[in-house]
Order: sequence, then structure tokens, then C-alpha cells
Amino acid sequence: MKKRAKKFRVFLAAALFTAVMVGLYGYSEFNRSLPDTHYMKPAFRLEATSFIRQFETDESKANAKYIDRTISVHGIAHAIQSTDTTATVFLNDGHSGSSVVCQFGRESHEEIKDLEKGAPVTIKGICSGYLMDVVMVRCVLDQDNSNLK
Amino acid sequence: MKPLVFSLFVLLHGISTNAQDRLLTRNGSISFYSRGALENIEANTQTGVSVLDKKTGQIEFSVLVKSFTFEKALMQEHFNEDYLESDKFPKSTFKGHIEDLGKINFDKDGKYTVSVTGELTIHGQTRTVTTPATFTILKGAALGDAQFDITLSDYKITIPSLVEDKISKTVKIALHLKYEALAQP
Repeated sequence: MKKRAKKFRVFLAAALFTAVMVGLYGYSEFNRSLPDTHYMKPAFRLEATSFIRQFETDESKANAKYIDRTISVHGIAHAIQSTDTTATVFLNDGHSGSSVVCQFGRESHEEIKDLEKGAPVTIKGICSGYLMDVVMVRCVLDQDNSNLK
Repeated sequence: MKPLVFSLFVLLHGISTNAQDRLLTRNGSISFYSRGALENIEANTQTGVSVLDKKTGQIEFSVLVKSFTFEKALMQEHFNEDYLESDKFPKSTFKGHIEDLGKINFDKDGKYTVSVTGELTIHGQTRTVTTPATFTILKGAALGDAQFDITLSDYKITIPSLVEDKISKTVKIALHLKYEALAQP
């Protein structure tokens, strides 16, 4: 009888432990934030002009290669538009009709407060695809922008 | 070139109207919000592209579904993989016109309320949408604002039965489009 009771207690403890672990996992998974782009290793490092040209030449191929990937793009800040909580930088060479549109969110938009129009800059973000421009979201300044700091 | 982007291209470069008649934004703000018993769902993007023809009142916009950013990663994954199926339907688009264009004086600063109607395509489904919109004219630029609700089932967006009662069946979409004269940004 004692042996059965002990077995039951062990089973109960194991079941409780499992339930707590599953609950904790579920809770943390439910509340998981998007990964911080600062710490994401770029899958590709590209010049803005080359990045744009690849989408202009073969959008399907470029979509398959770049969408959802972390990309570091170097180019000229052709235009900068800011609001209180966001900022958008348009990277291109000044000759192409398209740009790489880099959207900075609430957490990172202040990083570019010193960025001036016409300055070279390297921006890291997640590629979302191509409309009139190549779109990158969750952007941050890439680490090799020592000239801006 | 996809049909809507081609259409935007034609609207931008069409020969029927002058370039000065067209206003453009390449970083239009589009957000959506839904209040539910389980959780509120909210996401936004500042990468919408839209063209407004001042002469004809024609408006088009296009946005990449994957450009919407959420606070929670799981929500963003479900949005793209299960609800909007963004690999299959990567763009949402609108093609319409201002019904009462005569109410707007693009040469005079001010705030004008009009009605916009057109075809909204989400998740590969197209429905007609009519919504009030305001255009604020300031020094040649036009700031367009509109808010309207859509019903998810109209766009064949299926909510899993497990959470069906806990997630709102309608979503509020808000647009904030700062148009400028057609030129490189």
C-alpha cells in the first residue's frame, strides 16, 4: 500500500512538473518578442543599387532569395522622413527610379537622428519584398557606421 | 511586373494626365486593430505605396503583407502563415476613386471630407469598400486619412475554431498617407 502511494506521489509530482513546464513554455512562446535586428547576423551584405537591380531584373528570383532574410545594405541616404515614433530612409544611388525603403520602428528610429541626407550609410533589416521599392522593415543602423556616431 | 504595381506604374507614368496632377507616397502608414476576448491584435507598416491623381480622383495603393510588424512574434507568424498566407498572397491592394472630388480644392490649404470607393484586395479576395476620408491640403501636399472596418470572412480569412470566439471577426484598418508631388523622394 505504501509503495502504491509513493508511486502515486511521484506520478503526481511528475505530472505537476510537466504541466508547469508546458505552461511556462506556452506563456513565454505567447509573449515572445520579435528578435532584435541588432543581434541578427545578415545573410547578405549588398550595395543598394545591386539589391534594387536584382528585384527589377527578376522579382520572383529575388523574392525567393531575400524575403524574410536579414540583409545589410549600403547606400546613399537619398531621403529621410521621420515621425515621432518611426523613420524611413530611402537608400539609392540617386540615379535609379527605385530605392531600398528602410523602415525604422519605435525602438530604433532615434538611431538615425544624426543621419544627413546624401550621407553613405549601412542599414540592416528584414526584407519584405518589392513594390516600387525594395522594402526592409525592423531596420537598425549596421555596426560599421562609425562615421555617424 | 504584378498587375497592381503595373497599374501604379501606368498611373505614375500615364500619358493621359500631367505629372503635376499626380501625388505620391512611398511610405504610407497603414495599420490595423482588432479587439478580442483573448487578445487585441495590432500591427502597422510605414511602407505602403499610393498614388493619387488630383485631376481624376483616382487612388491606388499597395502594401506588402510581410511589412506589417507586430509586437509579438507568434502573432506575426500566425498572421503571415495561417491568416493572410503572405507567401501565397504577398500584396494587399486598393484601386478606387474619390466620389466627390469637387469638394477638394488642392490649391487651397484646408481639410476636406470626401467619400472614397473602390476595390480592396486582401488574401486574394476583392470586395468593394466605401469609406469617408479626409484630405488635409498643406502647401501642395495632401495628407489622406481614412478608417474603415472589414469582416475577415469577406476575405476568406479563417480563424481556427479553437479561438474563434475569442478573436474579433472584424478588423479596423487605418490609413495615413502623406502625398507629395510626384518626384523622387
